[in-house]
Amino acid sequence: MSALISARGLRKQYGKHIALDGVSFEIPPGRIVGLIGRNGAGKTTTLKAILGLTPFDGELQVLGVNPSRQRDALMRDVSFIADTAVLPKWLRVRNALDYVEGVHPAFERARAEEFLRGTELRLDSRVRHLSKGMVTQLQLALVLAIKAKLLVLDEPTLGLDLLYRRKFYDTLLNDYMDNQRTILVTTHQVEEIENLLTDVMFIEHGKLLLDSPVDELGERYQQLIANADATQAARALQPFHERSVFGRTVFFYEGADAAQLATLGEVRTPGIADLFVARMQGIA
Amino acid sequence: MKTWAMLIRRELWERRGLWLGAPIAALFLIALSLFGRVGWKVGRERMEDHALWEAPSVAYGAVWGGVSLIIVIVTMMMMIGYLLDALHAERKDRSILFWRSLPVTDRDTVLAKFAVGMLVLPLISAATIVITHAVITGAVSARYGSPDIGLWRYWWRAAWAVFTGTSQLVLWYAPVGSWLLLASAWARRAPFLYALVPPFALIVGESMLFGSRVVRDYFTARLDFPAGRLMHRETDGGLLTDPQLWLGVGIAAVLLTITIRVRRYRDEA
Repeated sequence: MSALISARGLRKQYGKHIALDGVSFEIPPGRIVGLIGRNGAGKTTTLKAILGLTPFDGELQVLGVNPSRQRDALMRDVSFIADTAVLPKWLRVRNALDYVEGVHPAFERARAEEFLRGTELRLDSRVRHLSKGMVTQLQLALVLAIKAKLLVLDEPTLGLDLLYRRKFYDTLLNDYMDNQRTILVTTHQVEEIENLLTDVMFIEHGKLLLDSPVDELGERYQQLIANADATQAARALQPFHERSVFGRTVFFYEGADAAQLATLGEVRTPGIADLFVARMQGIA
Repeated sequence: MKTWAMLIRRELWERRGLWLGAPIAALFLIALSLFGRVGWKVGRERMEDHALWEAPSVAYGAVWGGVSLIIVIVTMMMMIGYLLDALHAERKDRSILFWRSLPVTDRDTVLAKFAVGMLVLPLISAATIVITHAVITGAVSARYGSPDIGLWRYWWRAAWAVFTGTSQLVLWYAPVGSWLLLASAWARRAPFLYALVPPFALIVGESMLFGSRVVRDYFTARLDFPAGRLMHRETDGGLLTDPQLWLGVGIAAVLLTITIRVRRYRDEA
């Protein structure tokens, strides 16, 4: 099995609204993929299809099975947080550990407990009395202690403070990630995961705008901070986006000749966040 | 097995009061027998003075029957409340997304909730009834003296009847229980309305279209508490010989299958 997830012509319609409009992609094992898009772009629908939470049209294989039909088998190898703050209010931290330990063969309780030790969570706290950030911490502790082949995180750090977000991503990268595992993550805070991702996908209006390994972005996209006297020339090379920063104009190109751009100013590989904004806004 | 034990414990974490209904009713009844004039109406005239000595089995039978009935009614209310809420609460607080992120099938979840409502609660109820009989019998004997009729052998027979009667009732009401669970899985709000409206619509519709009352009679017969028809002796099949009971078990299986599908696909958006 080469691809861990392979989607071909994925479509999903809610009434008249087309949520996914023929999405195709492949995710090989061992990658950390960021799925980036605005609210309503189709991110969550894609994740739900992958997790077998929603029926869809088109072909989709996750770990070799159809997630819609063989969901029960799939959940042994996949763990996910679909949404933050969905733990029931009556649940105690201890009960949560007991429960997941009782039903999940790949759950390592000691890891979850170790992860919780670094937080303010107590074993007999109830979810009802926890802040939103603490609930998220609990959920993260649970999923990080499950040895799953695929981990799906939808806005995992929503409501967490900066220190904890850092700690979470460090744990994810250092302790959790190995070349057997794959992580699919969506987030609004693109800057924070930029350095973590191996692959990036942009989605908009149910279509993939971009699907590329991060280290190939530089070959495809260029960012030019144009010299003051070169803006006209830069514009003539048909950038797909431009914006002004501190009085200088920044241009974004797809497939331009880097050597030629270098004569007009400073050339860089755009960051994912910048690239996302540029792709979404087009030529402003 | 481990999963099943966990699924059932989970229900009791969520509803800590759930298993307490029958025991609390029992404590109340025991208190009445200890501190009242053996005092609830069912047994009063028979337990006092001569009745206890003249016809002890009738006197105790009445008291035990009264105790059983009250605890069964309390338990049934707990069962109805639980089954209507079991698959609704997890959707209301959206925790269903968490439960479904773990490798527990919808089938196991639905069946575990059905088992808590239709097996665990009735078992607690039956055990409570039998223990309450013993405590009250002991208390009454201590107070009025004990007629020499092998009371405890009689108690043991009654205990057997409680457990066989309970299992017959569980089978008899299985379609009702699974209907409530289906309403709980289907309803966005007010599951009890979803449970009540379709049968009532059928009854009213039949009456308006055909002027007949077949559906109504059927539902009435089916919901009627079949106390007089329960098995009393080992040789007596009781309700178990009624094809209606087995038809109902079949209907329950169909309703549970639908409920599993509903949990799977409801609210998928």
